[in-house]
Order: sequence, then structure tokens, then C-alpha cells
Amino acid sequence: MLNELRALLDSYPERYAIGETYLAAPQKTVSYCGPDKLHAAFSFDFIPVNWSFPWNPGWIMGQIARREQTFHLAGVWPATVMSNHDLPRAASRYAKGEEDARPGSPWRCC
Amino acid sequence: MALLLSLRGTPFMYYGEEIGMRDIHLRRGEILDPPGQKYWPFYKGRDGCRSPMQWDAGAQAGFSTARPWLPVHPDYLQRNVAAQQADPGSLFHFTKKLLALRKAYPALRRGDYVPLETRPRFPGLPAQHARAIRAGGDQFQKQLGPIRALRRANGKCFFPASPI
Repeated sequence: MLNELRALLDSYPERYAIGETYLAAPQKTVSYCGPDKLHAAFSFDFIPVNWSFPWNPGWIMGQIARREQTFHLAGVWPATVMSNHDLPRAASRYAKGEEDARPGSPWRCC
Repeated sequence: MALLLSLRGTPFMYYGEEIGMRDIHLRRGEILDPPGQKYWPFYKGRDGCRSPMQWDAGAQAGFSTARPWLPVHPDYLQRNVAAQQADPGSLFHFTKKLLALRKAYPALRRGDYVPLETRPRFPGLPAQHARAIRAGGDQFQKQLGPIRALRRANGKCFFPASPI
């Protein structure tokens, strides 16, 4: 089906298709991408399905490493997303109070 | 924001992220998202992240003269595009600087990702990422200067005002 979709898309100029593959495992996500499939699929490594997103350097590095490994091995260029229309906003997930978005706060740096 | 705009890959920004918009909190009767109406209080739906864009301190945060589908976040008087445009230290301007940096350095857009450290230096801050650099193929030699500078300065060179 993805092949058909891509063939149809390719009959138009300046096309780009990205998959909102939220419930898929990273390996499955990359499998949707390719020259005859989608151009890209979102990596939801920072908004995982279990809604666990601690502000923790180790966890964030782990997610980056996992994402790098999966996408790099598959030869797929990642697409990064921190918030979308279905999930709590990044600022709500990570910030503790209103002042957290002010200059000098951890949220702003990272 | 720095993670989103510096990781290897194509970044997708959600509206309002550039001003740090927060989710709105609705009472049960105000929830409009059907899954939220059905599964409250276990799941309150997706209305939280769908409030109107906060443009300015005017009526409905400048989003519309009509009553919007969902209410504007009450913090719109302080948190809005106009206010952050006027504040050089705001998240809005930080985002703009990051985008300019991304535009200026091909390695930030198309480079590889190479973590320089594996141990966090500061609690609560992914320091490894702050120190992570990317360089790819032909761009490597060209980018070596900035990379050395980044290494030396631990990221400080681009944002002297930031406490990284």
C-alpha cells in the first residue's frame, strides 16, 4: 500500500510524506521509510508511548542513542518531534512552573 | 528546543513551542475531545495541547475575534508572541538564534551525530548533548574550526548568555 501511495505522490511535484507512526516500535517506524515508501516517519523517542519523559540526562542520552542506532542502521533520515496535536506539550512535560521558560532555566537551555 | 534543533534529523516544531506554550487545563464539562469525554478522569483527551496560538495580550490572545473552539491559556497576557519579540532574552529569540545557527552550519543540518561524553557533568542537564557535535563527509574539514571552538567552549561560544 505504501508503494502505491508513494507512486501516486511521485506524480506530483515537491511532495513529502511523513508517517505519524506513534504506536510503532522504532524498528517498525523506519520500515515505513524508503525511496518507494514514505519519505520520513517521526521518531517519537522523546514522547514515548508509556508517557514517561523524565528530565534526566541519562534517559535523554539513552533515547538519542536508541534513535541514532535504529535510524542509522536502517539508513533512514530521522524526523524529530517534541510536541504534537495528540500529546502534552514539551513545555508542560518538562517545565515545573511558569518561570521555567524564562532565560537561564534548564528548559530554555535544552 | 535546543535538542529539537540540534539532533541529527529534520525538526518539526509544533505551534506555540517557540514561545513555550503550556497545555490548558479544562474542567470535565469543558472537554471537547471525544476520547477525553468518554474516559475522563483516566484520560482527559487531547484538548490540552490544542488551545489557540497566543499572539498578543489582546482579546482571545489575538487568535480570533470570534469565540475559539477551545479557550485561550490564561497565561496569554504574559506568554505571547508580541511580548517575547520585545524581550531579547525570550524563548522566541533563543529559537530564532538556534535556527540561524542551523542555517549557518551545514553540519548541524546534514552532519553525523558523535557524542563526545558519556557521563553527565551537571544534574538535570544533558551535558553530553551540549557537547555533542556532528560532522559529516565533505563538511567535516570545513566545520572543523567551529567544532574545535565548540569543544573548547563547551557550547558557550554560540550562546554566551546561556548557562550551559
